[in-house]
Amino acid sequence: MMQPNTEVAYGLPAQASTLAGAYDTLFLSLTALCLFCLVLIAGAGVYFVYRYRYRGGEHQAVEISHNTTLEVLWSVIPLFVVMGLFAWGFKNFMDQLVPPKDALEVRVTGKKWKWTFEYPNGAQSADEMAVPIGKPVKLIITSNDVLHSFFVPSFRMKMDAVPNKYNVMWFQPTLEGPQQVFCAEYCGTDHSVMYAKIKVMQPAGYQQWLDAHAPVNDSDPIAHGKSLFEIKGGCNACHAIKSAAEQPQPVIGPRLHQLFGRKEKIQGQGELTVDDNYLRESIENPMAKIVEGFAPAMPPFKGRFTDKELGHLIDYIKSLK
Amino acid sequence: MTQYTPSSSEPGQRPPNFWNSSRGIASWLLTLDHKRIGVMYLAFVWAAFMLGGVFALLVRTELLTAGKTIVEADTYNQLFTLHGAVMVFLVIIPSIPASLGNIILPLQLGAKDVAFPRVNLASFYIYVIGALIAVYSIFSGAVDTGWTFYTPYSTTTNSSVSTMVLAAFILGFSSIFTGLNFIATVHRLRAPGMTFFRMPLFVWALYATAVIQILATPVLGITLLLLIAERVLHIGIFDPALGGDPVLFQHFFWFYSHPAVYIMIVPGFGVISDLISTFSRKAIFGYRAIALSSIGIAIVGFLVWGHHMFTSGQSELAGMIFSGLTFLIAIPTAIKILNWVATLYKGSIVLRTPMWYTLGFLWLFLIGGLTGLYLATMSLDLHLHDTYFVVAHFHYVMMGGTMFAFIGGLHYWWPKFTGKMYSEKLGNWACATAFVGFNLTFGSQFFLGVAGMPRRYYNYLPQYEPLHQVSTIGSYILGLGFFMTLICLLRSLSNGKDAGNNPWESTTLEWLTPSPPPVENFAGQPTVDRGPYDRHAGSGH
Repeated sequence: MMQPNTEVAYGLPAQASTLAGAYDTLFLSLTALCLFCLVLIAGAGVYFVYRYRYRGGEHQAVEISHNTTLEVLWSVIPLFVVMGLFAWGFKNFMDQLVPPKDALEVRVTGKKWKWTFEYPNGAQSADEMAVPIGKPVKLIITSNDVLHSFFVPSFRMKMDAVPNKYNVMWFQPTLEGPQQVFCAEYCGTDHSVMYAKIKVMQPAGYQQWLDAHAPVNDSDPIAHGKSLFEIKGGCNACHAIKSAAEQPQPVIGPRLHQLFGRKEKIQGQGELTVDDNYLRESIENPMAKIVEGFAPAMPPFKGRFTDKELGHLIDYIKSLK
Repeated sequence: MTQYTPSSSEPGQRPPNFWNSSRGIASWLLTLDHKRIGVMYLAFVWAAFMLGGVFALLVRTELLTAGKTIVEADTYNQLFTLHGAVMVFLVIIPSIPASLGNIILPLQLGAKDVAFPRVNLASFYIYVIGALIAVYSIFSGAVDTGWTFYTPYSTTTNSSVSTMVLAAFILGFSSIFTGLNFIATVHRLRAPGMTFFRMPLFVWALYATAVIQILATPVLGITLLLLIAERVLHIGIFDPALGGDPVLFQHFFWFYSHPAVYIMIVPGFGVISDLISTFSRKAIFGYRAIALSSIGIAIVGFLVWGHHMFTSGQSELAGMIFSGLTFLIAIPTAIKILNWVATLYKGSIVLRTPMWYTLGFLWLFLIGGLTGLYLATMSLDLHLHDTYFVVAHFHYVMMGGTMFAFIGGLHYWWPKFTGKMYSEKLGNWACATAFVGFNLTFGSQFFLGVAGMPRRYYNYLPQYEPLHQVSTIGSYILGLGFFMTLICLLRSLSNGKDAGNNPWESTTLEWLTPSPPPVENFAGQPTVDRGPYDRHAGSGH
């Protein structure tokens, strides 16, 4: 295998997967072809304009109405060139799209504005995932709300996250260290900070990471609620859990610090005291009561949590003192 | 030889023309004259262009620094959406056909007017209503979906999507009416002796465009109606939460919007063909190849929409077919560029402002076309899709291509329909300024895209900041260039020299009649017995 190129070359990001090199070869070959065409055609244009510019007096233009040989030539030659390009692009595309059978499968879910990951052994994480270096990884990507797109520049890959549908993307990392993930399909307010990291690790480090992200069981309601809050719900993308001094952002949704028992002003409905029923309604059907000063932006989570999970989630919110 | 006898008039006195034939606001608002309707379209298109331009400059200013510069994220999302929607639906689609096309097409055919003058006026009012609704939507909670209105974001966001979508729906009818009118006019109202292959290439291009307009626009209309139905009546069509399919929307949307790309650029091809022949003082090279390649693009353009969806999870087989067909479009496009460059060969090239815009167009469109090859290559699209590379590519084609052709054509035909000559010096400086600004603004964005910068980003990582700053500075220069263009043209109305019938020694019919033309266009019926760019077959007049 070719040694991956870790430098940013020709403006392309570092090569961090087995297929990035093949991508760059095609990219740079096409760039050479385009530069050749650009120089040839623009050069001819500039030369003609200079050589045949009108210098006063009688116009000396020579009428040449057409040349069938030339027309055929400059139709057929580009046709062969682009068909070659098409075939090369299609071959690479299939390599990029079809994962090997032994790949590690990780489920990826996009939601406003968070990526969450779930491993075959149950390990869960948000906004970062770890993968062992040199092993093929298959991502099964979906979305909980609107369209997103999982984009890893250093792997030269992206795939849309479509609700109710699974799209597949795969890669075999060759470069240790964190790889940047962007959301590439516009998804609203925080689209431009919907980042994640893929940590490419040695096997030992990867195993440690997996253990640290083992699923939280439901025997401890608050710890379980915290996990649901951060990963399954992704609630911390919009709701801050500490005081404004400690955690200025995010403020898209109401701050949950010391929320339970507090009085909230509801748009068009006056004041109420936050209790269990208000919290449950605000999770399942947030449009019912919109707190003053906030936009009605939260998607309904009805059906997403079991009764037990809802209880633990509320226990966790109560614990934010 | 081509025959036409202009009416005689007293020397020193302006003969009656379509500007001074009748007076008062009502004579404009109720006019059936294609030239007056074209002029009104022109004014509205420029007003919309300035509005869309202000949105663009605000977007670029916000991107001057990696974090917040002037506005919040939600405002930024509205600004780029409004920029896109205004520029596509209110500026580029109507720009050349509805303004220059309306004014020039009947003149080039030797006709008195378009086939259906009342439908023409109706199309203008539909455009105005659509434009007003679009502007209203800005104040009623500006839309924040991107001009593509992708579901399910567009069916769930709280901004005024329905209003903006309704505006686009209404604007579609304006486009259909203009298309119908041009097709009927070309078939029924050509001057005696003007066969299809004696039509100027501008007419060919408008004809090809009109075919796309009337076949593709209804699909957009239906799609947008379905979107409104889903938002208002909660019928599940595209929103997965209601049992719909969001990718279906993309199919419907691009089934219109990819052909719409050709609605935007093909008229520009026509302008460039006329200009490059005129300013090379010789017939166009490969007339039939250019004429038929427009039709080829119009047909194949209907079959490539899936190339917008290589990363949507559509089947590999479908992707393969769409990629192959997309590459096929490169051929008629290459044929055009090569024929234009060949026209320069052994010409007598007169470097006036319209020709500078034409040469600018060739450079920008060449880059726009070549970078399209990257995106058609399925593998390369996986990295470049939804990055600034795409933004740069379509601006080179739509803005560099269409707008440079539009403004070049505007300078070319300005003396004809205003009777006034603009300042060549200011015109050249404006063109040069816009050209430099354009390449800085969008040239830098190719590099941003290759480096992985996604589009529609309010914040970005610090490594992208230098290129963003180059782009923003370029956008200010570009804005200045277009502002100079506007000043140049408007100033000529008060202090421009009289243009005379044919200041460019052009060969097409519109230059035989006085500038500005009389209401009936020609005093008698012109007849045609030669090709549109034929300088030597007969002495003519």
